[in-house]
Amino acid sequence: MRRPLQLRSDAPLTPGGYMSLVASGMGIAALLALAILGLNLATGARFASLLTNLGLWLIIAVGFQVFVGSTGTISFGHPAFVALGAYTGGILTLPPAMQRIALPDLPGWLAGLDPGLWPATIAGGAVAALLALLIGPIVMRLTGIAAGIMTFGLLVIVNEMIRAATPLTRGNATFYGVPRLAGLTEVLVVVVLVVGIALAYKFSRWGLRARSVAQDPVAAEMSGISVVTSRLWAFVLSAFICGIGGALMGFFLTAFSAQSFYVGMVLPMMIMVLLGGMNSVAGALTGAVLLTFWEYVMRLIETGGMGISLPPGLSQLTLGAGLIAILFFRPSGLWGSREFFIAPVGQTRKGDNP
Amino acid sequence: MLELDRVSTGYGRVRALDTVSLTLGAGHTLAVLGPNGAGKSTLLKLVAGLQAPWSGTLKLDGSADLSPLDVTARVHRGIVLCPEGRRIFTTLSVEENLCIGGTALLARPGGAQRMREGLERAYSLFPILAERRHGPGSALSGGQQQMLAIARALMAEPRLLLLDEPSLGLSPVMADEVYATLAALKAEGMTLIVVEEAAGRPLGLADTAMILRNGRTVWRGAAAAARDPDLLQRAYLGDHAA
Repeated sequence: MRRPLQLRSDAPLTPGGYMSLVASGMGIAALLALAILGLNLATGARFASLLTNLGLWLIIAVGFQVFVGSTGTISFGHPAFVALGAYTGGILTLPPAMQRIALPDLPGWLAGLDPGLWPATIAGGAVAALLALLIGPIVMRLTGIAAGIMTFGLLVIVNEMIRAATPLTRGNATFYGVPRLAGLTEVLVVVVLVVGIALAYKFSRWGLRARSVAQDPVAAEMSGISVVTSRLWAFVLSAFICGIGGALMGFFLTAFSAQSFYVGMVLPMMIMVLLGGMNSVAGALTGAVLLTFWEYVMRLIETGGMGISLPPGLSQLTLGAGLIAILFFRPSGLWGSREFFIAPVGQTRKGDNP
Repeated sequence: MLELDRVSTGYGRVRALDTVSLTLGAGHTLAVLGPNGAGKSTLLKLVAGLQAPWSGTLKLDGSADLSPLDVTARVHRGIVLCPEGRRIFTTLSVEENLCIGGTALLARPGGAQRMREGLERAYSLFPILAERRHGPGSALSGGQQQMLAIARALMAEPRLLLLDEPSLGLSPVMADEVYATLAALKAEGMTLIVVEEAAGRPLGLADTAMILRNGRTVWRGAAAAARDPDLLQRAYLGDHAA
C-alpha cells in the first residue's frame, strides 16, 4: 500500500529513523501552524485573538499530553504550571515604571531584569519544571485516583501561594501591565517546537520507559526500569511545556489573575486530551483545535450571532454530551496512541500496523 | 551461583514459603515443581526481589547478600524474571518491548551496540518476532507472546534466568518449542530456574529438581530421579494418596 501519510505508534530504532520521525511530526505541526496563519490572513486578522488563543491551547494541551500520555495518570494540577509560567514571565518583563506601580514591594534582585521574550518564556517553563522536579519524587509514587487527588491538592496549594505572595503577584488583584510580547506568529513557532519536543520524548528511550511503566509497572521494573524516575521525567517535561505556554499566555493576555489558572482550566485541558486520544501528541493537537472552534461557534450561537438564539450554557452542555459520546464510542479518543508521520511514498515496512 | 538458606516469606500473615533452602551452580538448571499454591512463584519473586524474605539469607556468587538489592539492581546483576502470564507490553510494538527488556544494558559500556546485538539475537532465536517487529504486542498469539516475554528477558543478558510457568496456556506444540529454546539457552551455559506445575517438560530440561507443597520442600534431588510417577504423586498429593 502506498500512503504518504501514515498512522503509526511504533518507532524505528536507528538514530536516523528517530530523527526523521521527529522532523516529520514537526513538519505536520508546521503545516497546521501555516494553515492557522493562512486563515488569519484570509480573514483579515479579524479572528487573530481566537487563533492565538488556539495556539496557546495547542501548547498547553501538548504539555499536558506529555504527562498523561506517558504515564497513564490523570493530573488536575497542570494549571498550576501554566500559572507559574505566566507569573514568572510577567514579573520578569514588566517595564520598570509599571513595576513600581503594580509591584511596589518586588524584591530588588527581581526588579528591572527585562530579559526579553524568549529568555522570559524559557524562565517561565523552568520555574514550572523546577516545582515539578521538587514535588515529583513524592507525587510520582502514586497512580490512579490517589495521584489525581494529590495533583488537585497541588493546584490548590499553588493557587493559594500565588494569592498570598502579594509582593510578587499582586495577590487576589489582577496582575496587569505585562507587555504584549507574543502574538500569533510567536505562539505558532512555539507550537511547532513543542510538538517536536513532545515527539522526541515520546519515542526516546525515556519516553518508552514511561509508557511501559504506564502499562505494567511490575513488568517494567522487572526489566530494570525505575518506576518513579521514569514517571518523574515525563512530569518535569510536561510542566516545562505548560510553563512555556503559560508565559506566552501572559504575554498575549497582558493582564491575568490567579483565578485564570485554576479549576476552570482543568476541564478544557482534560477534554482536549481525552477527545483526541490521551496517548497521542496528534490527539492533543486535534482536541485543542476541535474544542476551541466548538466553543467559539457555540458562544456565537448563544449570543445570537448566527441568527438563531439559544439559551446560554449550550456550549458546556454540548461539550459534556460530546465528551460522553466520544468516551462511549471511542474510549481511547480519536487517534488512540497513534501519531501522524510523513513517510516516503511506497515505503511500508514489514510488520507495520495497518 | 545462587544460594538460599532457610528462607521464609509470605503475604500478610500467611506464610507462603517455609524455611526453603537451595543451591544452584552456574550453568545448572533447576526445575521447581509442585501443586497450585505450593509457593513456586513466591520462590521466584523472592529471588527476583519482588518479595522480601521474612527470615533466612539469599546469596549470589557465594558472598554477595541479595536482600538489600531491589528488583532493578538485581536485573543489573544478571537476575532476570520472565513472569507468569507473560506480561508483555501489548500497547508497545514488539521491538519496543525488546528495547525495554534491554534497559539494563544501556547503563553498561557499549550499551547501544549490545542492544543492537541483542535485538539481532532475539530475532534469530525467534524469527516470528522479526516478522512482527513493528506490530503491536497485542497482535501476537499466546505462544508468540511467550516467546516475546522470553526474548525480552534475554535482552538484559541474564546470568540467571527465572521462568514462571513458561508453558502455561500454550498448545503442546508451542510448549515444546519454548522448551527447545530453553534447552538451547542451557546449552549456551545459562543458569535457569523453571517453575511449572506440569512436571514432564521441565524434568526433561533440568539437572536438579525440587518439589514444593504448602511452602515446604517435600523432595529434592536429580531431575532424572523425579520422573518416577509414584514419587510425583506422593509429592503433589501427600503421603496418604499413595
